[in-house]
Amino acid sequence: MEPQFRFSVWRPARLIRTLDYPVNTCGDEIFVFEPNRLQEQIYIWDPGPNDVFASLDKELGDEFRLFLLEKFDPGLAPEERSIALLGEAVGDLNSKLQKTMTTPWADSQQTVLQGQNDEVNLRVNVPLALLNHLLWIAKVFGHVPRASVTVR
Amino acid sequence: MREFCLQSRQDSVKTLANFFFKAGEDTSSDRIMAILEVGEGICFKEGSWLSVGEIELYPGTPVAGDENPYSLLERALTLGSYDWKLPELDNMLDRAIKIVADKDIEKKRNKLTKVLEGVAHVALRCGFTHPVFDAESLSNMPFKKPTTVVADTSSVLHGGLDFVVRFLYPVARIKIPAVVHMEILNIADRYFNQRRDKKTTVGALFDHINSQGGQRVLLRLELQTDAEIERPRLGSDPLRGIVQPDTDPEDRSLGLQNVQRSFADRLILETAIQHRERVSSDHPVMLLTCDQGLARMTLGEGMQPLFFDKNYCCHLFGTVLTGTCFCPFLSSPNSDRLYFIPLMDLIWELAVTYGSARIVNKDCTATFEVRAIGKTLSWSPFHAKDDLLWVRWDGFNAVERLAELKREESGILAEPLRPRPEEKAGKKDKASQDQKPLKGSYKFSLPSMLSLIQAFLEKQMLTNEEGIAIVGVKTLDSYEKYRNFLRSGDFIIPAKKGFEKTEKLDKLWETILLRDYPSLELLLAAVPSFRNFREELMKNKLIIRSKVASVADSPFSTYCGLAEMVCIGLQIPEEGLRGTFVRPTLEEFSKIAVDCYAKIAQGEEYILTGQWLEALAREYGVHPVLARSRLDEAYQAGYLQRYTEGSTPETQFEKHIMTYLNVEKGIPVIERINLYHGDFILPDRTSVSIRIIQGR
Repeated sequence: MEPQFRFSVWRPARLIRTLDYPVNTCGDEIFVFEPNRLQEQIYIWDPGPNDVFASLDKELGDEFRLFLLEKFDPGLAPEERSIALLGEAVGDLNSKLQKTMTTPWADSQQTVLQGQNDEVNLRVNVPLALLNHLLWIAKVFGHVPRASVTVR
Repeated sequence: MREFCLQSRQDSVKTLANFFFKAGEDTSSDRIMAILEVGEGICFKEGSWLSVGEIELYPGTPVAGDENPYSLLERALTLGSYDWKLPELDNMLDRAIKIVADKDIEKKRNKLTKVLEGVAHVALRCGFTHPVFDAESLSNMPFKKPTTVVADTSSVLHGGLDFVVRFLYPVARIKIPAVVHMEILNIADRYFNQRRDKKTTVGALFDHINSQGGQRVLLRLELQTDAEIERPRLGSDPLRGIVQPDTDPEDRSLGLQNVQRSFADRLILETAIQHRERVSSDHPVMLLTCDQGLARMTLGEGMQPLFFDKNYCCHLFGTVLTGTCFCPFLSSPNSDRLYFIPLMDLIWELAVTYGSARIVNKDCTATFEVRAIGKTLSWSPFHAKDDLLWVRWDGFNAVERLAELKREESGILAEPLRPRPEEKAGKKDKASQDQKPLKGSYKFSLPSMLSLIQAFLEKQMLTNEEGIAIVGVKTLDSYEKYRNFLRSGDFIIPAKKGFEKTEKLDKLWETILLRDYPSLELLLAAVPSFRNFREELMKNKLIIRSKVASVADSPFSTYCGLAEMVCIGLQIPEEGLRGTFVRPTLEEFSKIAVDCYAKIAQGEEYILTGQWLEALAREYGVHPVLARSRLDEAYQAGYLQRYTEGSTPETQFEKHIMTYLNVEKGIPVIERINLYHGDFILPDRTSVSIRIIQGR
């Protein structure tokens, strides 16, 4: 099962040598290569087959979706999806998650062996585990100059 | 209150399950709440406890096979199904000021804050969250090539070393300089001196948490984990001589006999530098620390520090942590994403760090207390080896429950703790139930089933009590799963006092001993649930747990095990159960074997044996047991040449395990074989990798 999303942290690429490519002569448009816009990926992560939204009520599930899949859309410029936004958004969602009345604990896809032959599904509070993980990422990369985030 | 007794973390699961059973009695919610507290024998006022947060346990709903309500609680405790809400640091500080027995406590707020931060360090060491590493260091994790990590004392205390062991080992090789042990021992000495002098200062408290917490980390890594901790050769710590007793008055006046903090840092760096000189120039050596001064000194000496920020721990107060967390790195697309922290791990870590820890229910009528140090409590090395601590409890009936379990084990069935649905509706006639045709699917352990079959053959007839004792379950419900499986295939029939075997069971046993897989498959097909499962597998070629139609979700793993045992299926993690009904001739197999090898190899010489065996099952429907025998026959007949290579198995394939029926000294045994370990295809040779070429 494919993960629901893949999370990456980027920073402006630190090139050892100058990079360039030949001007595209086939198309109508001529792209000007700007090496200073190149980004390098410094962290990648995904939640695996675990459904992040399944255990949330609709309203909160929509907010998680908006946060994950729209705020950090790769189509946006890096400045619009900066790492600073991640910390703010995680804090905001965390306080909403604490107020929710539903229990976000549910069976995950991951099984563990109990006893000789019994496999049980590991239970997990996916939204909380996800937010704690993203908060840690926001702390680690929060001060990296011009760092940005994509979720695809 | 009971007397203290020694218990390991595993032993305490049952007692804690009883505690939570009591704590959850008055709640209709799906969560059970309790308060976690720590105590300190000398520095806290007598009988005072400091709350370090609330635990909310989420046991979930029962699944088929759960023997009683305790099974649910035990599973939640063991598999980390709980949230831990940490209090705000200011609230903890206000409470601590009231209970710490230091006369100048108001002047020592900063030091007391550091003591309380120890709770966050416990969270980091247990793995509830991770140290905030330097961004550049983290972007290079997990390490791609072997790297030596030399740990300093601060990294031991603040969770850095635990992180390296948990997520970077074995690619990261861990080295702990003797100075680290020495520094922690010095703090321990200082603490015990103050304890003996009854100095109840915040300083003593600070030394307590650092010394005991630090020693626990080092002992835990050595005794409870698989991590191999390297040590410098004895006496090889550079500059060692300078801290040994010396009569030279000049040296004495310098006071170098006392290990200074900065000097200890220097010794750790010197150890790392010395190690770097011993290894090849492209082998990275890094110094793990959260001490800025040491990290700067390391950079200044041309070495890379593995630095993390210890100030991050303050942000943890007031947040909610959870017992099942995401792994920080993706080691492979199919690797496990989650890991869990048993609640006992947290309680044990807090108990050792602060001296004692306890968990109490909301109205304080039930407590479970764990103590690591105390006036009348002894310590021996075996306590550390088995991670035994002193435990006592009050307000719930753990003793009665244990006795009840013993009665059950001895065959005298206790009343079920929760009435079964049919009992609620009125008990049905037992005899009519026994005659009813059985169509369900049953979850059981295959080794226990073999024991039960053997017992039926020896005794001809078994009562329920005898059957329960043989399969080692605690309730009749659980035993019925074994019995009904055999009954549904007419291997046993009802008798006056229980059930007796039929001739079919003799045949079944005979085929098991002969490992006659086709006959075994046909005999087991007399069981309707297995027949349906087999037909579904034959039709679909692949069965996924979430989509299985012929059996219920809970017994799915039992039927997968049966299918593997009779060689008609192979479970492949992340895929499901693959049907392996193809029985190729020697010539056909030789072609398949080479084609399959070539597809995987893509020009490489050797491929992983497990990968080849799984591909044969996936793409050609050939079971590993058949593949093994055909490969040998084809080799003997000259159709194929096979070469194998031994190496360390890759840890990412640890879940690729197959159920295998073996016979040892005339007794059938169920083995769990890892196809990637390389000991299956050629039993007398390690063959993690294989190369196959056409023979003549």
